[in-house]
Amino acid sequence: MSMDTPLDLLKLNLDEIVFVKLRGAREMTGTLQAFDSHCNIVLSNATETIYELVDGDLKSTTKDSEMVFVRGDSVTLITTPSE
Amino acid sequence: MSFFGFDTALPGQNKGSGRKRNGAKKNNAPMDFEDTYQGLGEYENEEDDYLNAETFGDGTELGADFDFGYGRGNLDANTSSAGHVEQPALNRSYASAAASAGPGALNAGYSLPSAHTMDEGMDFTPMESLWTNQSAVIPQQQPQNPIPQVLSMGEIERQQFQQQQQQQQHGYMNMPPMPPMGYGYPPHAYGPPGVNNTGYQGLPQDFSQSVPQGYPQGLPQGGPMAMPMHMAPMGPPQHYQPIPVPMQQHEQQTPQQAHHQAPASLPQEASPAPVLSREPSESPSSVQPQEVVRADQFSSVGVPEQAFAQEMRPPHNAPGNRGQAIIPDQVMREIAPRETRRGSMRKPQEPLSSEELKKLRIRQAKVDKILRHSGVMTPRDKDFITRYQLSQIVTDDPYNEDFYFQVYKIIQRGGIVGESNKGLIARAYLEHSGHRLGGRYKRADVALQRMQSQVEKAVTVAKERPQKSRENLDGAKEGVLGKISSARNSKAPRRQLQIPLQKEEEDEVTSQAIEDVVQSMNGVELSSSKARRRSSYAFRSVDQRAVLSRSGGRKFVLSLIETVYSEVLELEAQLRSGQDTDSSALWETLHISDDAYEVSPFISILSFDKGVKIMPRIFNFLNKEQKLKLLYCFFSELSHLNIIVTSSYKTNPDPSDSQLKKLELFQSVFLKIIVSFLSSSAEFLEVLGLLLALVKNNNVSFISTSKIGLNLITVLISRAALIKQDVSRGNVLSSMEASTWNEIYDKLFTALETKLAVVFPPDEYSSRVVATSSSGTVTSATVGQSSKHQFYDQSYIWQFLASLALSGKLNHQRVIIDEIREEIFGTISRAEQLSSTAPVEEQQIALYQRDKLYQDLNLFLNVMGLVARDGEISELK
Amino acid sequence: MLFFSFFKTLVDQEVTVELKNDIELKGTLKSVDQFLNLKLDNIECSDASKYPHLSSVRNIFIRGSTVRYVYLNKNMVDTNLLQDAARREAMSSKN
Repeated sequence: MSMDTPLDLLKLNLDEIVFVKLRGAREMTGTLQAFDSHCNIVLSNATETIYELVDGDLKSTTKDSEMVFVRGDSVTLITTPSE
Repeated sequence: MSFFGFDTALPGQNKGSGRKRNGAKKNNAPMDFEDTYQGLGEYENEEDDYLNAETFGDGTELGADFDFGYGRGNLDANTSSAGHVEQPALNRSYASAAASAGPGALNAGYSLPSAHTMDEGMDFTPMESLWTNQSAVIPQQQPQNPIPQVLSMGEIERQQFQQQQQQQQHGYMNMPPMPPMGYGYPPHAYGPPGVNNTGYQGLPQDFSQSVPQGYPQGLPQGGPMAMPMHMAPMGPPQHYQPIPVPMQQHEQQTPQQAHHQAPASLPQEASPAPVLSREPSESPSSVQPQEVVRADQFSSVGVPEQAFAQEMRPPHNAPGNRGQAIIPDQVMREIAPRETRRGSMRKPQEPLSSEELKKLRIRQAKVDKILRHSGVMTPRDKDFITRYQLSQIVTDDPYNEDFYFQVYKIIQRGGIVGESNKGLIARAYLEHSGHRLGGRYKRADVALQRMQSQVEKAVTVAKERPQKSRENLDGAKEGVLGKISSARNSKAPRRQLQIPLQKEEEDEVTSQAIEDVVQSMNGVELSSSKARRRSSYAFRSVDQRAVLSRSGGRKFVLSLIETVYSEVLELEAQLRSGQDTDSSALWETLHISDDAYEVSPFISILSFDKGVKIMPRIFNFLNKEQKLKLLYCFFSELSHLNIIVTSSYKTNPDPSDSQLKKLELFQSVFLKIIVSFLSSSAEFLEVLGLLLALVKNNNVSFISTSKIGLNLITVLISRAALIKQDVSRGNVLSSMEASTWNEIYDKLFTALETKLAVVFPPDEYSSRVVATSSSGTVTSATVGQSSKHQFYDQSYIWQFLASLALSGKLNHQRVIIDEIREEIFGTISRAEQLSSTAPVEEQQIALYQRDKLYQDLNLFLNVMGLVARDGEISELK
Repeated sequence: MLFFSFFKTLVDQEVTVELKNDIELKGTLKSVDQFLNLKLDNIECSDASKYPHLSSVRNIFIRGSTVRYVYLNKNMVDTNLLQDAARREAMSSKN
């Protein structure tokens, strides 16, 4: 197997569920439909979790979307969820 | 440094030194502003900018009152006469305009919207001598000036309204915020004279002489009004077409304005194009004589014209476009009678409704918008820009850069490969620009061709671009619009990170191994040369992660899938370009004959949805031999297959919604290609071989507990039976084939014997599946009239039993019936129960289910010559 | 060029754009360019708390870099085709 660049490894996860960490204490989980070298991605059946500090407590809000485009400059990490 | 006269010598400006100084003394006292103020705000006035005049020009007396909109600014005393192109105070009321006297005000009146000095460095100011005829015009104005004051606002409005109503179709002419030229105002900045003559029908005789000179090309004024009369047959829409090109042509053709061409295209284009487009097809020369005629005619009309002119003048300064809009109509109304006299085709006078008035105004606004910037660029400039834009968009291989969009379009269209990329772009561009290049719709095809040729040129440019960049890699390149610093164009920006890739050499795979397998596949083999694991290992395969690890690992399998995908994509691209495809590389990636792993990686590929999805496309490229080998591997290792484990009630008694969906996918995709392959190209012996592989290498009973497994067995058996019965094919089965078939059947039967009832999933399983389906996605696992009333579809079981019975002898059938007797009667009684105990509301649903149960049961019973009906089994007649 | 190509197929569809400053707008996508700048027509509020009260504004241009998310419907996308396009893109950018 020729040497894999990180994006090559990302390609392996097409059509699989991935876990994405974004700027601003946000996370997203969904099925990876597309990506490019800027880490722009399209996820289907996605759930976004936003973490906030409210009165000293950690609060999280979720938001579901059936199809979402995420601009790459917000992405910090992409991985597969532990099964 | 001395920016802006900044004096660096002042104390406290050098922070470093300041700190040192301050460090010595303690800063306890409140700071005084004066101490700390570093004089940064005191900039000296700019002097010594000796280039200022050059940059900004000081040639003309422009004043400060530039109107970039529609005339809000007051007329300035600075405005000199005629030569100026400032906006007039178009929003002045009639009365105030009428009241204002003096040539100065009037002269500054109807300048062109586009005449604001937006483009610096260009002298847009029309040459006085060209555009005006002060001496002729001004004397006329004064005597007529006082008269308008007599009319009141209300009367003027009324007149205008009447005009509008009658001349609705010529409303577009009203666009420019120009009052009709002829009505007492110096026709400065007027375009080709001939054109405008016709408009001034209401003009006094003198005007008809002066008018020719001062008409700005685009000025709607009176001129356009005349034009429409000529052009009435052409219809309104054409008038909205951008003028520049035709205007330019017109310009060139107008003899009187020959000198206009000298200052190149700019001054011409500078003035707003007339609202009306002169159709290129309209020969200006033909227009002129007509116009001359008209002028003559008009001049012959004495008093009425005077009066008319008087009427017209007050409104000439009507606020904004609307006022302007109305005036030409007024003229039109007056003109109309003459028109009819002349016998031209005109609509009968109709009162203009407020609806139409609104439309007129909207049109006026739209045309104004167009006219504002018309004439700024030459056609050559526009062509240049167009080609440059196209070169950025168009590539020679759209599938390379624009894959998703191109294929998506094709899919949307239903797979029709229509117009080429270039044609589409050409058309889209044309539509967007409103066919301006083509003029009328008649010209559209010409314009389309022209656009297409531009697109072609752009493609050649684009093609040459990569070649150029290859020669000129890192230097700053001379781009079309200037120097481009990066070597790549904006489509493919330079990579930030260059990761060195090492490509390993491809392993040379000998085909000898494949050959052996091929040979062993041919003919009948009752003992497989390769010993594969027996099906008792099947239960080890329940743990899917274990299976994956035994076939190389999840990552390895995923990378295999991706390699397969890239191969397929490449092959499909080759197919698109008409090349012959070579499936050997693809075959290698499937790792079907790979013995290095306990479980064939191919099997693990099928455990992923995307692996299943790619199968039909793979089959497209494989030859028959490869397909057979693939299926052989498939049937041999059926027990390891994820989907079997998932679909068996023994190993997965409670399937989830996603698992059911997976099942559905597999069923619809993979099973379909197996069936189509078998029915199209499989020989009898090959089918038997596959069946044998299944039987020998798997626990058949376990397989039969899974829906997919049972379906696979059914497919094989029924295909064999079909071939056997297909006498029409001409070749009757040889005795060897027949006996082989019997043998294999016996093997199968033996494996299933005493476990036939097991093929029926327990009721708990069925109800769980129904429940999951109802709350999730409905698949073919259940059936029912509505999504709420689903029940487990057992047809696949009865189909299996039917095919088994069909191919068996009498004793086989007896055994079958013996073993599933319970189920048969159970089904009948369940069906009867449904129809008798169901409440009225559910009668329909119950009946449906009952009928379905009987139907499925009879699938099997009919094979035996029996039929179940109304609770009884009888002979089938 | 993958996502440029992707957005081109979404022209004339109604999408919801969430910007990095938390503004959320729903509108019809009219135009997109290689930088994924967007033009939306006929914008309206999709989330009251995140709407910037541009009541008079109907059509807007959004600089691509300010976008955080673009929410779409599943039926606007051919997922198989999109995945293949991503594979092709990955293949070509590797070279």
